[in-house]
Amino acid sequence: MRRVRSPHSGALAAAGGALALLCAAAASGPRQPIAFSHRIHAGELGIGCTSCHVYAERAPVAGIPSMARCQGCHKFVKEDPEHPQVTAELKPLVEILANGTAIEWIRVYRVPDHVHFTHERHVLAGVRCQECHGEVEKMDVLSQVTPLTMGWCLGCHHEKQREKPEGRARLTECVTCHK
Amino acid sequence: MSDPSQRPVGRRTFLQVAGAAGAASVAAGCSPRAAVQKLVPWIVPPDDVVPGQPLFYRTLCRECAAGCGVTARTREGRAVKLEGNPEDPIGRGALCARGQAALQALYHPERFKGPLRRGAGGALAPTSWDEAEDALAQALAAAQAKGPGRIRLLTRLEPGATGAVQRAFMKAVGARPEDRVVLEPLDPAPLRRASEALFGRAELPVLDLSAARSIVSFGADLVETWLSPVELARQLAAARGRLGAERARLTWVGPRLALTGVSADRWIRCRSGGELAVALGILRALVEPARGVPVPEELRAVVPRLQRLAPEELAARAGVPSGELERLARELARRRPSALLGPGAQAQGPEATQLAAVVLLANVALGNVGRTLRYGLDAREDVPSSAADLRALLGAMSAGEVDVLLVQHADPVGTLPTALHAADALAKVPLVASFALRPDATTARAHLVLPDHHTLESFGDAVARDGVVNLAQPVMTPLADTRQAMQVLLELGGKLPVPASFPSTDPYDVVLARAAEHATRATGAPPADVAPVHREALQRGGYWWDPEPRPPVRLRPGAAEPFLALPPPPAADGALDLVVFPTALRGDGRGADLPWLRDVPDALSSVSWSPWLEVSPATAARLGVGTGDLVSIETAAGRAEVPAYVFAGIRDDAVALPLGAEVLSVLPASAGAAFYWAARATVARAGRRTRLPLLEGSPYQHARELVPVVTAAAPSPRRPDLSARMYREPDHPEHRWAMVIDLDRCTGCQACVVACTAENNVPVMGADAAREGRYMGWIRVERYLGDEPGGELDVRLLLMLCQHCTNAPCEPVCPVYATYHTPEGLNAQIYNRCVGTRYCSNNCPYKVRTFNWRDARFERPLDLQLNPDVTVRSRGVMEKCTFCIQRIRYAENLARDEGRHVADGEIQPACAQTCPAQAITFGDAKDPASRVSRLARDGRAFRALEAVNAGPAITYLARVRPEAEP
Repeated sequence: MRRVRSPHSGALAAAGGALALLCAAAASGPRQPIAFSHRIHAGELGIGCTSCHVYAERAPVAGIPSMARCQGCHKFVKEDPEHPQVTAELKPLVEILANGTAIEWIRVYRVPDHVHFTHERHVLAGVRCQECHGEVEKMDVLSQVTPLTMGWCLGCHHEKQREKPEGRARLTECVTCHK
Repeated sequence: MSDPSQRPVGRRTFLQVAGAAGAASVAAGCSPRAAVQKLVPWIVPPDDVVPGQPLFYRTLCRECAAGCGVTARTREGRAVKLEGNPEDPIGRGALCARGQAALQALYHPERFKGPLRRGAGGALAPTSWDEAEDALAQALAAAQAKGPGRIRLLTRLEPGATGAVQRAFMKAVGARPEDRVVLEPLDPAPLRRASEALFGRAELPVLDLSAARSIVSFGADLVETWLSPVELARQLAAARGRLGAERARLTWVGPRLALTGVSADRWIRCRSGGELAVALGILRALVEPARGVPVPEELRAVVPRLQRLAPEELAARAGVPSGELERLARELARRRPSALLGPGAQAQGPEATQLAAVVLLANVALGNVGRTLRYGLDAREDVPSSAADLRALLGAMSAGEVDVLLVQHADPVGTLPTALHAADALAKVPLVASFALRPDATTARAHLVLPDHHTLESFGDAVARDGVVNLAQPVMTPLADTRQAMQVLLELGGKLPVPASFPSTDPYDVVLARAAEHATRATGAPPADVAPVHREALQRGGYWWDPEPRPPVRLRPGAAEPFLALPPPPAADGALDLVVFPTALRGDGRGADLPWLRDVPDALSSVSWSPWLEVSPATAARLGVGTGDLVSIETAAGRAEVPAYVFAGIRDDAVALPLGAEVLSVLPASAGAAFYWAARATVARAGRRTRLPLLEGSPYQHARELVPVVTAAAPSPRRPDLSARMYREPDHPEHRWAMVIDLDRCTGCQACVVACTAENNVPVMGADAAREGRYMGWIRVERYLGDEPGGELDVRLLLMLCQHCTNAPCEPVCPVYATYHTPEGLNAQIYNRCVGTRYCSNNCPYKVRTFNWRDARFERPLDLQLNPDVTVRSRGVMEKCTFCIQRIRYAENLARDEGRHVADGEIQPACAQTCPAQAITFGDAKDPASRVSRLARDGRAFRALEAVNAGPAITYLARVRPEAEP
């Protein structure tokens, strides 16, 4: 993973955050190397998020499914004789799997390097994936729907803290995320 | 989510809008930084890797000959931190500064990327492994045909599978055993020689200092480089941790105060080479019939001979007051058992073997042999060659008698005295093949470079001593096209005219084949199937067992006599004694090019990035030099220019140089067993000045009693009355993280400093920054030499790091709230809030905050070592110790996953984790039963600059100064 330095000052962080906000509002999601659809996988087929993002419950990162995991299903699902369009869409994947190479996805969600976010604690605390990632199961093209700015994070953290003040002091502490 | 546009315009909103408008006009994409990042999934995910979670491997440290076990923490397939293996009997979880820095050898930007061959133009050019091995095999075959002695191997100590393969390979090419020379420049060869002469065993004793009540070191820097420094530092701390009269005393004998000497209770300031007279004086006093100490039977014969030595003459030759040796002998007679150790590199000279023998005889006289010094446990898996063996090798090379020289992790040009003319000898060898990791003075003269894997990429084992076999295993895939040297030898064996019958060319198979024997020793019975047993051993880190008791060694009759005569005094030539010493950070100089080890200031001189010459204040005045003035040093061997460092811890008739490439030209070529010898030197002012990179401001306490000590009469430091409170105490509802540092245990070895640097991505800023006082370390060893210049020498150490004050002076002065007190008592520094006013640093009474004056560079692949759990700070940001907040959170996270509370002692900051002397304790001060709370209630407790009333979370325990004994 490439490391990017933290911004030089709080002011720049705020400015950057505002930019991200502007972008999020305008974004429709990047064009990925293959036309993967969350709507089909998570929505129509009802595959649970952690079936593919296997580390979400036990690690800081949720994980991008390995090619072996794609292969697990797609060695059987390679074509659809009744729907030539589906066969056409699957073709690039079938080729990549046959080559043994990896799909280079364009990253959609990211937090800066001076933020130490962990999926594990959020998922185990019962935060639904959709609260941050939106209704992924309805998206054909994944886009960033939340700004991921500090103010946005704190909005939720403050709320959870108000619900149950004792034992949740850390939810609004700087070093919880910045270390 | 609240919409910023709905709020009245505040500072934050203004900055957001202004920043957005400015940046939007220049940024075509969405982010001012890298717009597109790729996420590349694994093809097949490794079973045991969870991204974002550490994965630990047990392996081995090969930075010195000690062979400590190591736990390597890896993240996403790369090693990010080394720690000691807590199960390993040698290190017991601790690791020294050089061990910590082994990571930088792994990720060194200059590491060879693949095999190289010197072309017609004289430059090394890339080649393929097949070509390189074929070229070497042909040369070997041609040399072998000429008869024995034409192929030689020069290697570092390899006490394991690699050494076994080397020996088998050399045998296969028809070499004699002496054609393999083991270069370990800091090996106490004189002690081996003396052990052989006296007891008939050419081996080193295994030490147990924890039982000793008195320890005398003749230049043996046991907490820095001698034998097994991590283990000895732990034993020393245990021996000194006992209370009252049971507390062990350490005496340092030598012309200069080394770091080990700083830990000593007494310094016998003998002249260089006078250690022998001191040892003889002690031995003579011990066997004095009037003392009433029973002289062991085996020593009776030498008593008359010893009595012929005049105590006054011995004291005069040593250059110490005559009563001092008598007093030390009295103490030794009373405080048993004891341990007399030496010589170390800085006490070596022409009489080093005699000194070692007299020291051993004194141990015999005191009944220490078999108790604190045990023979028979040195496994002798591999034995370092003496300097004489190396001279023989260099002689043969110079005479053109060597056709192929294989060099494995040895650098005779870069680590040995120039007077040995290793470079000239190398030039006479038609084919020099080196297995080095990165360029050194020897690879610069090599014809073939066959880069080895780093230990962290290799399989291997090391028999540290009888009963301790530590295992090495790869903790990550090799970074470059390197090949384990053992494997290259095995492959070469198959290409010889008469192929060697090696069963496999895979190093793992070699280690596994040896494992059956280790497993048999460890469990008492041969395993039915060694593979599963070995897998368990790899997870543990080694095979360990209690060795059978050994029969006691006996002094051979008549063996002692040759060592008892006092050699003639050196000629008075008006020159100064030149002492050469290794340091804890740089050892014999082999790892001295690692940035961490260069950037950390020496604990005693506080110099980094430069050699220095220690000169006493009186000698400096006589020469007309001050700290930073260049002086020329001239010996019979050569000349060098080095900046002076005025140091009160050295005799007026001596100067001292740390070992390193810069001083090799002045070192004499030893004629004895040891590689480094003291010399006589003419020292003069060169007339120029340099700005020495120094950390210290003043080396004196100026009567402020910053670092108090305690005695039996005054068992507690004076502490100010702080009952009047100006500030409201902050609440710590759950935890109050705190630390206790026992200065009686701390030796100043700097393992903590390098561990902190590794854990927290502390940048290395270089020599120029150090000259500007911009060294970035989060923790430092502060050393005070006394109260005032010219006063009594009274060296005290203080480990200084952020004190995480309750009423931290740094916090209220921060205009942007970038530093604040957390509910857990941490003084947090939020880098992304920091705007770099540096007010906090100016207001910090401890000066523990450092400022990033420029962006740190982590040259590839050094950046692979960066700890992903810690932000890499950028220019313009203040930083400091965090008590390893990431490690606190990791332990808490783990406990939470397992549905329990964090146990006391479970959280260990990197400094506490690696401390060989276990001087640092971390824990929750809110819990009165925690170890840190109990220690903080000790009578020796004090706090740094307590009268400032900042309320530090760090409690120091004062050093104990024993009463003088009659």
